[in-house]
Amino acid sequence: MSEALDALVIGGGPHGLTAAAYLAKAGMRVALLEAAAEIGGTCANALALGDLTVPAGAQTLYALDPRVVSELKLVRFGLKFAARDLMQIGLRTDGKPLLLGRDARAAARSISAYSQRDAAHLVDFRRELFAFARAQRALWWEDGPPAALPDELRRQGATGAAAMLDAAFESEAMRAVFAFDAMAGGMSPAAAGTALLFAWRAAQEMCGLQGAVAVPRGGMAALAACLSAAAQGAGVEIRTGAPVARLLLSGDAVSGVVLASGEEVAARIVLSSLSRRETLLNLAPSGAAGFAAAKRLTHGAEVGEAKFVMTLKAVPGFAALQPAARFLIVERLENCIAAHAEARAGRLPAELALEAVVPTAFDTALAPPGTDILSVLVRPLPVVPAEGWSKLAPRLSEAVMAILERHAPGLRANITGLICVTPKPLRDPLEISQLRASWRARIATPIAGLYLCGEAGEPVPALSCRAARIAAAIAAAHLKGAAR
Amino acid sequence: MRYDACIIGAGADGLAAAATLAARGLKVAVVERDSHPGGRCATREFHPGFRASPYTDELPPIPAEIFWSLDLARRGVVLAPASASLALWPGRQSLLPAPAGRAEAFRQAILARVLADSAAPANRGWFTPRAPYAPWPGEELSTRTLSEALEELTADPAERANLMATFLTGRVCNPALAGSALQLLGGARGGMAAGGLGRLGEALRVAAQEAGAEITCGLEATDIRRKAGRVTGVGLADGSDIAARAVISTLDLKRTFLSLFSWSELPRALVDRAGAFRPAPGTARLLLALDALPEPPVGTEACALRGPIHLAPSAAALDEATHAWRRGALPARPPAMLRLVSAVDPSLAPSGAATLTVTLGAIPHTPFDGAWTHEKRDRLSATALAIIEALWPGLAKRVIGSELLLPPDMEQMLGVSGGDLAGGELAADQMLGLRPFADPDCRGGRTPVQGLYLAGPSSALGPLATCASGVEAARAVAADLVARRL
Amino acid sequence: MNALRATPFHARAAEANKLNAWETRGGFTLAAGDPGEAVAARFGAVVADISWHWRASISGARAGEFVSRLVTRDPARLQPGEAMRTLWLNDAGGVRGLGTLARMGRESFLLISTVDDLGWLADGAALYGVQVRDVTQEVGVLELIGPSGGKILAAAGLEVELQPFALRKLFWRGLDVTLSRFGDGIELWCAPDDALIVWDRIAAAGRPFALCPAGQRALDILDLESGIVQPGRDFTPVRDGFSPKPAPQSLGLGSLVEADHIFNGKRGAAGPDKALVGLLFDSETPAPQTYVMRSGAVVGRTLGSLLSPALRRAIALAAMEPGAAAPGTVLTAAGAPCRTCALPFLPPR
Repeated sequence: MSEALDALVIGGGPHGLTAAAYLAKAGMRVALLEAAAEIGGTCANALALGDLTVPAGAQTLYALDPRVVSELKLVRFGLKFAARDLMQIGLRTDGKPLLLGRDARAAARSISAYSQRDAAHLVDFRRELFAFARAQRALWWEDGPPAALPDELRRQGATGAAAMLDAAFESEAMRAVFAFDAMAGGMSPAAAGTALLFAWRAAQEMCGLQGAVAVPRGGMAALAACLSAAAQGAGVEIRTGAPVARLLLSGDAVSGVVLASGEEVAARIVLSSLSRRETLLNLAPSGAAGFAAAKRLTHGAEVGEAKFVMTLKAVPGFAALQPAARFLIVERLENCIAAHAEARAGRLPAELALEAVVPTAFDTALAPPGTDILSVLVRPLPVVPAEGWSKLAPRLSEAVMAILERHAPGLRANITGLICVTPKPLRDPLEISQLRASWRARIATPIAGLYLCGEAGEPVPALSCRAARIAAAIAAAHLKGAAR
Repeated sequence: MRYDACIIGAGADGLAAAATLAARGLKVAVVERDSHPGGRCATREFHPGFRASPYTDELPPIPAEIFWSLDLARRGVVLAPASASLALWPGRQSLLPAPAGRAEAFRQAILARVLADSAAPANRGWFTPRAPYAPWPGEELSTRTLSEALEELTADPAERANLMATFLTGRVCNPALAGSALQLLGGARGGMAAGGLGRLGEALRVAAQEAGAEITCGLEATDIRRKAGRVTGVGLADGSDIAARAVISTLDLKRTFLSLFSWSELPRALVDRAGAFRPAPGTARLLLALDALPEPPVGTEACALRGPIHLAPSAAALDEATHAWRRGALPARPPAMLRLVSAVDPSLAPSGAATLTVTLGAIPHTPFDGAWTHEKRDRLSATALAIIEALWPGLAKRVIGSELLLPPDMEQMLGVSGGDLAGGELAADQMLGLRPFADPDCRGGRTPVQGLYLAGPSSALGPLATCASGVEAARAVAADLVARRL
Repeated sequence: MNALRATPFHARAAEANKLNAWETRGGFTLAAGDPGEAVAARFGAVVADISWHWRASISGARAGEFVSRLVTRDPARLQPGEAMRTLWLNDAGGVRGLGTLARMGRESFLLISTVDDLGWLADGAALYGVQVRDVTQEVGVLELIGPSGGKILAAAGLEVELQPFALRKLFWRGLDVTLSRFGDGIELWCAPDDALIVWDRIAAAGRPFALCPAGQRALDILDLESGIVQPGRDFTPVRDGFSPKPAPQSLGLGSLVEADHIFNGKRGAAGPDKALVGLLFDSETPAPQTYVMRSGAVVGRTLGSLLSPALRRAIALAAMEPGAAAPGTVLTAAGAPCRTCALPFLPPR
């Protein structure tokens, strides 16, 4: 590091790479520090599964900011999508699956087996939800001044997802298919304000389609590679194998970081893509975050999700319905509320909600022919179970296998490899009030010059890179203001 | 004869509304299904010589201005001051003074705001601009959890559980859910009435009648008559009609809109909202007649027995009970609150004897395996007595008579949907500005139906204060009559 | 749960409390006394029981770092045995406490205030691995206020030269005591068991100097006359972690905030600086916590206000805009006319 740096970015995941790229494009001298040997964070293919390597993080992209894609010219760096609009399919044991694609009429056909009223109502539900979501983009996409809350936003901010789904749909099947998304961020579907989670999801845009869920060609690692190339192309200096031990403060403001090796790196601003808890409690000096804020941060998220990735000899049966789909396997919405309470108490819930994706069904390059990958997210689970993960993980695997076997008989016999990623213990808990707060409130920290550009800055923790883009803008403005 | 207002239900809110309107010189008729007025304000002799208020020992406080304007003190209402509550755990106990603080400040601010809202006439003009939204006092509670809100008061988990039980007073909720902090608003207690709540009901009846209101008992209101979208009167069970320019319903939301109207004549959104208004977890009441004052548990002073006694409250038990209620299961260990009512008011029991009321939370209206049978009732009574005996040995053998009131009984006796005395769950989307309607025009007791006003437990002030929602609706009626909006 | 506590001097306070007027502060039962006792402090001296003040002991390897972050003035300049008056704020800059911070040893501090805030200190101390303990009941403290204070102590055998805001441990005829000057008078600290002996010794030594016991009401009046602001009585400290009100400047306490010191809540909203002035009313009716007006415009707010028997007028401490703070300005508070005065109201003793 020969010249003095303007900005340092901690964390080489997609959020950190995006923030670094934007800062470099704004003319700053930026360095990015990644603790692992490989760039990419949770998107990197870090887990070994037989001969393959798979990522530990999200399995689909539904919130990537389209402006990041266009402004960083990711397409030029090789970003392609293997699937642009995954269909939402609800698998049920008590009847035929619900096929909820973008075409409402086709969706209505599969719903009418359960309820005619719901089939008719889905069109209105979607239309109202999407319209409301678009209206909230001023709050969720831009860092403008916080607008006066319209009545509907306030009302939804007080409504629980369970109440909203109960009012919208009468059939158990329809309520259950949305139950998985209602538990995003470790929230219970009955908690006030979780109705906004649907609106937030609907406010996103992938590949030009509102509320779409996409998968990059080559998996999430390809996204990380594109972002890395974009960042390097913009002039970011990327250092891997450089874990940060703590922040350096001069007075009240950040002045750099100290690596675990003891090396000091000076910079005028620091953007951290780690969680708020990690940044303010572990990296910042004691008390720098404020006593009340630190006390609030000591409680990490109590409920999280686990990820299972398995290699199979053959595609599971349900993938024949529609290869490019996300399969939601939930029995009843009410059971999810009870399951959340059980997870909060540290136990394995009796009922689980699953989201399964078969990426090899639409992206054949991910695995050699004859091998298929099944990626499953499981909610809600205790982050720190009472008995410990070493005891709980096998029971969880068994429960997940049993659920999958019900919908894909013979699956167990086809499994050639299985890996389980347990919930990360240092995640920030989701506070629904964050969904109504401004970007600056989430991104700025009590320490001058320190900004959060990762999931901590997002209203809902998701791979969106919007916080990174906005944090970079705020940081650049700060530097320019300081220069004057 | 055409009345200015007809009030459905002669409970505390209905009678307060009647007294307020009649005092302004308006012609008021009150229709009550039961043979005597009072509603929740009743005293019941459940065993020869033993009396208790059957539904609840204490109602939410009556605002001071209403207490004085209705002259309740001279009419025989004496309310005991709020007392400290005792929590009994196996082997220890803890005494907690009556809680106050920010929740009380919010309550007062909400009361003031709604009463002011009601005094302004309905905003139905073309040219009146919509007032900008003013955040409600206490709105910050709707994103916080009850455990977190109580964490500010005390860090000790046992004391927090005790505080939680004190605020919930026999109700249950899931204390870890965002929005559960709103239970703090419903936790204020107005004190036990000397002679039982029946004295309060009697005083309110006298206040209403002396002001000039006509109270008809024994007749049920079955319909609300409308003409050209405006309310014209109330249809009664015997076929007769009461013509009125305005109708105040003190029934809960579901009963008002789903049983007094035919669904087809109401806007779809209104029917949906009434149907989707979630009930609060129900409570059951066990009234016990004891032949002698029981020995207090070891280490308790006699004065501690004057207040509510919570049996081993814990946040985990509350959580579990709420989930059991949701599934319709009979709780194995329902949260229980005891009150030795005769220790405060000796007239409720013969001398030397004692009356004990037990409030059990999270009791389903209809258990998942069928309606309440005698066997299930006995089992619940036995469970409750066993829990009490475990923490207060020697009490069970003093019981000489008892009565169990379950949600279906309360539904039948009071006419509350689902036996839910709270009139709807105190959740974030059903409180403050959203109770019961989100429409800003529906302030101060008004409803989307022109000429119909809602008071009672399902209105914004229902869980916060007694008689206040009635007075609020009455003021709204008076303001709208004057402004010729009716 | 909160049984009323008695201070170590309770027995003597009960004898001295001729009016049988009691009050509660901080959970302790204290003699309220007669306001007229405040005048006695201008003649000889008065002795009052301030054992009820909340005291917290902070100790640990990083205690200095923690305390530095906690309070609004830099404690590094304090030597063991020195103290300073300081504020501590919540995360948004609202005043959580106002008190005296004394350094007892290299990494050992004592924080004294009239309103307790142990929870906040414990939360902060947890981040530094420092121990915080409530030591209120481990000590009995008497305050001697008045021109004869020093002479009485000398007569009792405590001959010591103390600087303001200093404390000294002494061995006094078999008892371990500490003397300090944190306020207007001299504080004498002792172990609770020795309290009555200490009281008797002081009372005996003070007889020729017209020493009277004083209750809490007199202490309040003496504080006001000297311009000492106390939390709880003169303003309500914030108990939230994130509310920015009251800001130190809005209470006229901006002088207790050092601009170049780093403390919790520094980045909060500060607000325009107000001056802390005294108000002398024309009548005997006090006007606490009201707005102060000058020709119809609000120019400040009163904090605490009481009737001063020495001046025979009501006095108040107020936080005023600098323009209206010149001594002699005529103002109105709660409808009553008043005049600004420089603090302290009465010449120092």
